[in-house]
Amino acid sequence: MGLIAGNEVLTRRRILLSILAICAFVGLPLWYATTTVQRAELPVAEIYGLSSELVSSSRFEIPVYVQMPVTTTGALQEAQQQIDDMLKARNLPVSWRIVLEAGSGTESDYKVHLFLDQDADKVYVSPFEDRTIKLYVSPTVIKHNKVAELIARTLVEDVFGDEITMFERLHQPEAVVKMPYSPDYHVTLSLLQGGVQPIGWDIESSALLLKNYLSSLAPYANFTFDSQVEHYEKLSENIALQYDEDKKQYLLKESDTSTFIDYSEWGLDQNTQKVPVVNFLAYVPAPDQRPIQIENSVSNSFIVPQWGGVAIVNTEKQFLEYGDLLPVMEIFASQLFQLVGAPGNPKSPTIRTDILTRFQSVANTRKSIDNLISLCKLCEQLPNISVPDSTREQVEQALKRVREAADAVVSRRWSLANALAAKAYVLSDKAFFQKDMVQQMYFPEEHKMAVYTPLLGPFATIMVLGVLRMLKEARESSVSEKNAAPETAHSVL
Amino acid sequence: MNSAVLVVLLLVRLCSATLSYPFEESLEFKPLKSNNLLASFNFKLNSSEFQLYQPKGETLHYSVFSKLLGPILQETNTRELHLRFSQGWYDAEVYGELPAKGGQSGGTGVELWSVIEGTDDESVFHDWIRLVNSLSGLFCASLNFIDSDSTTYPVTVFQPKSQLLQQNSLENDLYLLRSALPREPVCTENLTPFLKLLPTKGKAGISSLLTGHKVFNSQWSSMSIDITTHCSETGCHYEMDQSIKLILNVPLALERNEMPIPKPTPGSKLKCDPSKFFDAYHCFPLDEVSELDYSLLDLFGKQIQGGALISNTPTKVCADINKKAWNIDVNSSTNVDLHDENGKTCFTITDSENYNIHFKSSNTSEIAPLPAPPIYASRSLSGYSQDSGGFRIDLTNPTDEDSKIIIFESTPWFVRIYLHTLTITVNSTNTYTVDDPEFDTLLNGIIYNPAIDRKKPSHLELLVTIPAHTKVKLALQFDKSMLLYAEYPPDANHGFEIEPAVISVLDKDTNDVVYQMRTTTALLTLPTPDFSMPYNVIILTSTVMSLAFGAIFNLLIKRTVTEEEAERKAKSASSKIRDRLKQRVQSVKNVFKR
Repeated sequence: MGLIAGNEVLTRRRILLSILAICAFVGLPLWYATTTVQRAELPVAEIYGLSSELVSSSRFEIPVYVQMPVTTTGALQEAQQQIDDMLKARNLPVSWRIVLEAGSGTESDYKVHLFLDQDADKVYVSPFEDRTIKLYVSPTVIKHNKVAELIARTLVEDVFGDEITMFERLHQPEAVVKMPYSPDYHVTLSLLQGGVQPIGWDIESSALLLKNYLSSLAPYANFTFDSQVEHYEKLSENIALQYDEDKKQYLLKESDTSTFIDYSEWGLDQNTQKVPVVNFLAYVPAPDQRPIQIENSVSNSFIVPQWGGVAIVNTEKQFLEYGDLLPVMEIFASQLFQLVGAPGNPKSPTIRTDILTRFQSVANTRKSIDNLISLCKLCEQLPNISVPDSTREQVEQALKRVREAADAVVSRRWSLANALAAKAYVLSDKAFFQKDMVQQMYFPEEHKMAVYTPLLGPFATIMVLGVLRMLKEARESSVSEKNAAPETAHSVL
Repeated sequence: MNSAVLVVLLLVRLCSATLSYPFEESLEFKPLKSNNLLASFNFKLNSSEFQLYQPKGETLHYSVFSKLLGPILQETNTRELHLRFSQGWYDAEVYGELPAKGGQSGGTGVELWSVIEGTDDESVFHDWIRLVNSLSGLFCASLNFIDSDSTTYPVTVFQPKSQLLQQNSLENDLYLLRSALPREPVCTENLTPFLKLLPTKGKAGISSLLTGHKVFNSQWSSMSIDITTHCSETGCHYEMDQSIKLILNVPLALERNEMPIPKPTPGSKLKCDPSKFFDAYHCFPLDEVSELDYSLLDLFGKQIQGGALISNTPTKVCADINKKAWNIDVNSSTNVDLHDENGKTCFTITDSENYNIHFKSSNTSEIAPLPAPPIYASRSLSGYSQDSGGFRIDLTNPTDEDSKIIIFESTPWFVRIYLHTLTITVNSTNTYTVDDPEFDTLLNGIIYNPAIDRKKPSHLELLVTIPAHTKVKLALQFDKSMLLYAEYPPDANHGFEIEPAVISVLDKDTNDVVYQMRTTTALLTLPTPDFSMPYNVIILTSTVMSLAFGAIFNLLIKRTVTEEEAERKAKSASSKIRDRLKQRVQSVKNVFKR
């Protein structure tokens, strides 16, 4: 009988152990697999690595072709030396240098043409589709053998001066006026009228002027364009115009320009556009408020940071001809360059766009890396957030574009570099603002309790009690065995 | 001096004639029965010319046609757009036929249909979703909730109005898509963007009368936008018709001006019927007042703030009144030339002065002839249980001729229609089922696209002939299906709105729609679960499972013993407890003995 009982105990023990084993080896992994958040592996090390080597990887070498008269040979090397020294003193955060080359270069290259001028030294940069810099040198300079220094100073201070300053400020926040970068922008020209009489404009021909500027900005970003005419756009009552008896005009205070645009009433809604909109308003005041002059403004215009520009057109005409619109379009063009963050110098829009493009390619690369780093930090800090595979793919794509952009910079294809960097920026943005990540499932701990307790509570109680009883039994049986052993010995004796 | 002024005036006139925009607006008032007043605001404008298939980056110039709409239509290849916002109940027996023969009014809530050009179903549907999402933002309406489960492709009604189809210049096919949101409350936030689309922006012309709290205090209101594309050899342009139709109950509107918070009329002001008994506690009120004197200022709280001077045709205001009983007076600082136009009293506004119109009547029940609608229709729900229901549509043809009508119904997928249960009852006496030969003489055609769960609504178009002076009842059975837990809207016990049926009367010869009306929405109650259910289910199943597990577990683990053994054990256990208790009692006793 004792033998059977012992067997029974063993069987029961086995049963309990096997149930415990099933719980531990099937139940637990199953529960873990079905409740963990999916987290794709992000190339964290690569991202941090790129961020540290980013500065060294973007190496700008800007070729400038100099056509020298024969008498000044040797000056080229000297000029190069001086440029290098001057740049070294500036200590730029990226590797950026000007490479002087002899020869005429192709049409799209920077060229310095030297001319003899009796009077004084002058620099002339063509404001048209050309990258030619005309340098007029006086005989005194030649006599003192300072041509090399002149070339160096012209290039570093005049032509590329603003670019160097921009790169110096790379790690500082962007200008307030500058619109956040986007590969696509939409430009809207609006003619707004405060009065009730109809008004019109010859926009078809005037717009061509602005379009030329837009196409010169093409390496920086794509611009689309439309126009509208709106009536009944009265000035808000909060704006106090002061009538100036002497000049017979209304004065708009500079502080009032910030509330000049009535965003709620004027037909300027832009919520239907997907891309950032640059707004340009030509405002024709109502007859009883004409003419309006903005305080301290020669061009009678102002910029609204990150939004657009406004020009006041004091006209009694019902239809604005090309001639009336020409100055307005010039104002808008200069406002546009300010809004995209182009440097003020040199005057050539081509060179300004070049500078802007080069700078933006670095800025975009930096921004995309920053985005990716933020993403990594976010994933580290929120262990509950899910990281879908699409995020990982976008991160990888962005990294690839960043590397390609750096290669394009080295091979001196600036606009390609900017396009690639912009793509990287867009991709990194997408990865960061991934819908599945942002929509983190909110599942509070109390709810988990409510779901788990009814099932696990009774199960656990039953099993724990079973284990306890088993342990007690095991102890009892070992005690009784101990007690039993001497007994039998005694009986034998 | 005088002549100089004249010359200047003439010059101003000439100048203003040189520049104008293709915009037209008109306002018409028509007193109806029971002191109601119909006000219809109509606006019509054209866009500038553009190329239908333009390369990307092409410049577009907008003037009176809003820049808000243009890019949306261009991007989604929309060739025609029809949008309706309506609220209130149109009582056809009091108000007569719908304004504009129902062509500009929608069903309760929001209704949208459009013609989209595209190569295949998928790309067109993609454009449609983009269109509704953009419009949703523009009009502050929940149009973004439109998805494939509420979109239908009408076959016989809502046909394109522009002549695009006849021209062979189209590169792709045209698709007609329609959807309705009967649950959408139409309110001020929809009116504001509506007015922003007008070149006058509600600041001049007749639109200056429209303010949210007055418009939506009406008995019935309908805002409509119809955009069609018209092409010529040089290019295409959009034509946009915007309209707002209001039915105002005049005594109610006047009362609201006096008492913004409704209070019962004080006893001293009650007008009781002298032919019946009345005292301080009893009063049979007299019928409605028959003498009224009111102005635009009373109705809209505003005057017309000048004409739309930018338009090429002057602002026109008309009143369709019975001149015997009504008198109209226009207040303005300029002379107003009231003239007759097709029996209506009209005037135009060509300056920017304020205009107020006075309506005065000695007998308000005498109104200009009110055309009766060619059909009366109503739809109701039948059935009583949680899972089955039915539709019943009552149609009355009051005319002397048989009329051909199309009933368009789109019901959500959770309403499972059984088409074979369709019965037609004529004059409440004869009921015909599908098998009867008379059935086919009344019902001439059926177009039916059954629903797919969560993907497609069921779409039904019935071509019915109603004999003259006859009442016809159509009845149809359906089953209600259960929804998933997350598919119930907030406040699920309120019920589900079923969009209005659209009833179109056809011309006998040409089969063109000559009159269109909508029934009211139907409120369907579905079996609604208790939403704590998931937890109850979890707890119940868990309990059952742990019970079963516990039983089996204990059976396997516990040792079985014979009865004697158990008793012995119990005895020893119980005697142990008894001994222990005795000891305790003894020790307590000892304490007391001391």
